[in-house]
Amino acid sequence: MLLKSLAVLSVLAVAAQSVPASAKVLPFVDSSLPVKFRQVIAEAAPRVPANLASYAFAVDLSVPASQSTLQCIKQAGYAAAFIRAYNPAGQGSFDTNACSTIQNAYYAGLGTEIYMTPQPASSKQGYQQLDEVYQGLTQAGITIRSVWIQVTSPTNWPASATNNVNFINSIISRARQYGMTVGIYTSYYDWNQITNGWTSIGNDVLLWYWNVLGGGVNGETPANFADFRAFGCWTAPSVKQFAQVEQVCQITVNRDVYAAGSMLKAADAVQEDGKIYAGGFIHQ
Amino acid sequence: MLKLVALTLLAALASAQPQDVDSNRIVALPQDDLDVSAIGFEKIEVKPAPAVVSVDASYAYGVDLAVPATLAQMNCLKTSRYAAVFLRAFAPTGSGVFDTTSVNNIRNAYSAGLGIEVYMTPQPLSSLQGYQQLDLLYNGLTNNGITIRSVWIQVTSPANWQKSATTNVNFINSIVSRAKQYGLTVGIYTNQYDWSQITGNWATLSSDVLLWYWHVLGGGVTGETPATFDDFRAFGSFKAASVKQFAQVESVCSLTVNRDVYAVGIPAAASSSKKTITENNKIVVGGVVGF
Repeated sequence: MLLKSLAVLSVLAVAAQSVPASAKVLPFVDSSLPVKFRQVIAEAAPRVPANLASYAFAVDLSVPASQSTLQCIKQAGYAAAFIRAYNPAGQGSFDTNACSTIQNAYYAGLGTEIYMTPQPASSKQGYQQLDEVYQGLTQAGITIRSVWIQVTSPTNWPASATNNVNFINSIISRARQYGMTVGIYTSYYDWNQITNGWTSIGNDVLLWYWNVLGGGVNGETPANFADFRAFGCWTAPSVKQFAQVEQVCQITVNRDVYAAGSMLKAADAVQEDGKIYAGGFIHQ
Repeated sequence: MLKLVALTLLAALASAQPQDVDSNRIVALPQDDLDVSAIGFEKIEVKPAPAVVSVDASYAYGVDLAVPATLAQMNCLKTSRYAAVFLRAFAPTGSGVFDTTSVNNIRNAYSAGLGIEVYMTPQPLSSLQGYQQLDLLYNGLTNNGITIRSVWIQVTSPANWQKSATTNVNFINSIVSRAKQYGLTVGIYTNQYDWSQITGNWATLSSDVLLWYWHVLGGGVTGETPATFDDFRAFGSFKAASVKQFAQVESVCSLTVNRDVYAVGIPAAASSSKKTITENNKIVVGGVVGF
């Protein structure tokens, strides 16, 4: 079976920061104050329009997904899945769910991208965390061609922009050493808050931005790039996350669009040596 | 006849924005040994704002600012069809200080016939508690012959807040409670993402606290969103919005400001705000913006 290595979709599932609970440490609730926190309940997502020629749809997720779920997602009109491969809990660790989810996505015919939610407060440096992703996937027989780095939720990042820049740079440099394409999942506000608007990241780094008015169906923005404004070093985006915390095929995901012209058909992406390739699906 | 022009300006807006991060951000980097020239940081260039042309009777325009403005500039704002100014009366510098520029700004705005609201940009990392910071604002204005009726609290820029949502909630609650003790109407300047980041999406703030939310696509004219509340979605404890900041870091009357809209119930009410209120020869600010 011919498997083009193009199937190596960079799994950039930058788990949209839309789910605060996924990366954020839950606050200690002082019993003296009746503090209540509102939860966003995931409702069913609107359907993917059938005839949208210029954008393709994707989901991003940080939960395990079976092959039937991912087949359902494919049937629902999504062309790709962004899957989280690094979990920021504690000191940060390789997300062991990623391997099976990536395989399931691949066999469901979805383009597969990988994202990592790093742990900037960890004793492990940026490049060490990237190494964990690389090794974790490689050992499962998955070759990773690109990676998206989540830079969202300022409250999860240290206050020093310079330290954050160095941390991100450490990840990017290591990824480049492996020959990977790198993208950042962020927004202009996150980027300002976390890196003070860093502009010299390198113009080979792609952008996946997010803009929602809130969680759920009610908070969606249009599934196009019309609301993109240049920031940092980016003058054009590759992907946009336009909806957060919705149900698709009974799992909670965020929803994304990317320019369809850059899409490589999964069928073209076959690799002769029988390995799965993740990443590289999305281009600038 | 005393008209309550009390517009407690939501001062919170200006400092919350990433573009004003230099003025608001407390970045303690004493051991920063990184070669700064190796890192580029984006600067927003301030361009002139589009003119106010709306004839929509249901919204009025305002600006929010944290810089000194002359009487001529305030008159210019009025002529440019801004109905109100939101002035910062508390700055996050150091452990948090009363913003003395607010005194002349309020007097000039008053003379120009603008509605006046005040906002505070608190300092959550300070040794001063929330209520102590509110006291500095209240006493600062009162000692200068200015009576306030409402205050807006800036809750933006998660990078400037504590990491613990509960700590932040307690801090904000301290300010809100103190303000209510003074009989002030209280509003919060924030948005859904800030609120979620800073307070963990706190939903039990009392429902009499007003909301001033912001939404821009970026700084400057190209980053504006429509000057309407159409993009508002309920979050936290907020079911409705009173003010929206829709543009940031623009030049109006040679001032760098952010621009806002607020709902006015009756078109006549907007023009009537030019009659300012004095009580015992004191300027009264706040209360221009309500539900």
